[in-house]
Amino acid sequence: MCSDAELIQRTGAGDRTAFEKLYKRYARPVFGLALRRLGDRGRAEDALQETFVSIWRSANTFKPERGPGAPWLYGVARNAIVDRSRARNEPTAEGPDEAALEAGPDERAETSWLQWRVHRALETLPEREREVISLAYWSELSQSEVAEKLGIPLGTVKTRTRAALAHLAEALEGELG
Amino acid sequence: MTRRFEDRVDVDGLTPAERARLEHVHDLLVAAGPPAELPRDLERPPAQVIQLPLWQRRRPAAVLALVAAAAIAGASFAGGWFANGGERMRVTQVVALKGPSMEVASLRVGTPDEVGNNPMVLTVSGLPELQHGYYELFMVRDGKPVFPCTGFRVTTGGAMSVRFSVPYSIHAGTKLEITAVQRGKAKWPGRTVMQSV
Repeated sequence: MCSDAELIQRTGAGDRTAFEKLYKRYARPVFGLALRRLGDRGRAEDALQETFVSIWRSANTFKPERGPGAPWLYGVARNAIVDRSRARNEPTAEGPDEAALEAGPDERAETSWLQWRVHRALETLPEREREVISLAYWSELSQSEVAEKLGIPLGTVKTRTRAALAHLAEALEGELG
Repeated sequence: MTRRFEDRVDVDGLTPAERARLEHVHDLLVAAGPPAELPRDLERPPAQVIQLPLWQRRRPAAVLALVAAAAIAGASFAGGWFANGGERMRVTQVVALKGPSMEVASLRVGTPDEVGNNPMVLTVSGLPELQHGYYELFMVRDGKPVFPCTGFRVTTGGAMSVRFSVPYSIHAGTKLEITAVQRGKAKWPGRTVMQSV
């Protein structure tokens, strides 16, 4: 699998396939970031498009020797979202992020970056592992309930959950680290 | 309720180091919360909706600009549907426009309503901001911009989408232009900055 940095460099050279791969990896994290910052789904959808236009345009300025791809993409996305909001004189808003609402600017930025990394890492998981993680962590189902919902043995749920966490650890410790 | 690591993961056989590693990921997942649900229209990667004419393949800047325009259009164009600001439009036609350098635009045309209003979405990038004016999209007749479709403003470097409708149709071969209208300095319909390709 190509690294983010490789895909950004190829995008900078005009490789549309690489650009589409970046879109698949980052559309959800970008949309999530825009949704939290802008507080409105319609505006977040527009910001998603504008972010990827910015990525396409500025990919040739990416310098891999200065760092990995994920922070660069995060910076481009954050700037595109903020620029869009400023250009329309629209205030930014933090969405339903309770922790962020109570935190200061530094902590909010840290939370945003954390979410970016984790949600990007989730995109690297096989669908069956992502499904188990989603049900276990955000639907608050027990392992038995996940097994029942998916119609798979409990042992398989345990195996997939552990494997998913190991894969996420690899992703987070690697380029995203 | 936030479940403990032990409730989520079978810890049997894990070394202390591996357990600590997985538990850290568990904590990150809990802290990050669920990812945003991407709208179905935006799940697909940008589609190539504008075919590049052969002559443009020898002009890298123009090709890049047009692909960027395709990206603007394609990011929200999937299966012929376009979503903009929560509204959806069945796209029947996409027209690309370009300027002399990196100015690009795409006009998505939807199906008309029962009385003949044709919905359209114009997406533009690469135009400079006009301090004392605005841009206008025209349909061209006999080589001249005649029928105004919509006026709009931009910020330098930013992409902009505007939705509107006109009571006339865009057909294959219809020529379009975008002009810059400077207040008090240029005659209507202004200086042409982009043309359909």
